[in-house]
Amino acid sequence: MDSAAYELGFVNRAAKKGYDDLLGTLKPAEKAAFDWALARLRKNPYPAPSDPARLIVKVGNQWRYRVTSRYRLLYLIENRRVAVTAATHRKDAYRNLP
Amino acid sequence: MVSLLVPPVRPQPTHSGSPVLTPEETERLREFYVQTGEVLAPLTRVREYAALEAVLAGAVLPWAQWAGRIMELLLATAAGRQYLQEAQRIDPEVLAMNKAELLGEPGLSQFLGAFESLQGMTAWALPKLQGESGEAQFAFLVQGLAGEDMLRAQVVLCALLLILGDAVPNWTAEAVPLLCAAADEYMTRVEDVFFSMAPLPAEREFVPISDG
Repeated sequence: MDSAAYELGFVNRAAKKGYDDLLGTLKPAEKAAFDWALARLRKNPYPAPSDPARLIVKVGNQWRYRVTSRYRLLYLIENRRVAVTAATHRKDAYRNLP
Repeated sequence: MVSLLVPPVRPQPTHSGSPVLTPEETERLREFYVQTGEVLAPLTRVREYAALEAVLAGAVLPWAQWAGRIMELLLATAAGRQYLQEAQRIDPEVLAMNKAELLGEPGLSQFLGAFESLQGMTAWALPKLQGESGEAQFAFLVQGLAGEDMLRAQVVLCALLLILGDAVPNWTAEAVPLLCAAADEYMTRVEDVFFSMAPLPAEREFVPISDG
């Protein structure tokens, strides 16, 4: 498979800032997990048979990637682009609802 | 019936002081914690996932009914609501401090993540359940979609807290990783329901990440 099959980015500048802000609070191992996740998404943003259970799941109109036990990435797949909408602690899953 | 948001452990005193509950509330809470310990003790002794599922199948509904009754009682008074608010500020890292070695990895991360997620969900839902009827109805709707997993996560976390707090005899070390993984899994399913309902960003301007 092409090692850079998808163009990777953020859905907007706010999403990028949220990611940068979050990364500034993380431990090295957690940052490395995000690096690994982004590299994976660039290669293949869809679930693969060899993935751990529920690593990548479709949630509504977007996808959720389980980066670590405490952090999640949400993203859209549009053509050959992966657009990250949020990098978040799992406790913040509830913040964007009415 | 509100049955999904009972704090799994007693809140600790804060700078503002402990909530002052009525004698009836205090007694009902005491009964609730005793019942929780009795019903969930078998979970702390499971040695395989199938046993965990079997115990959960019998424990979730009765626990949810007790939890629903105590929740209604607490929501009805100012002191009860303060008690619930205090419970949301419990630091799970403090709870796990003395048993970090027992929890191990990934158990510790799974426990912390699931507990923090439950706190996040409760922080979202609790004000709504005390607020306008429309907001409460929305909270009930979302909880209905995620309800079974939410209940299972709470029950499993309660069982873990019984172990962490030395509140139950004869627990087995084999139960700990099973409970951690189960709590993580159930709360992940809950989060996914919430994620699926979150609106997508209105503003779109693709900001690429450069290679390397």
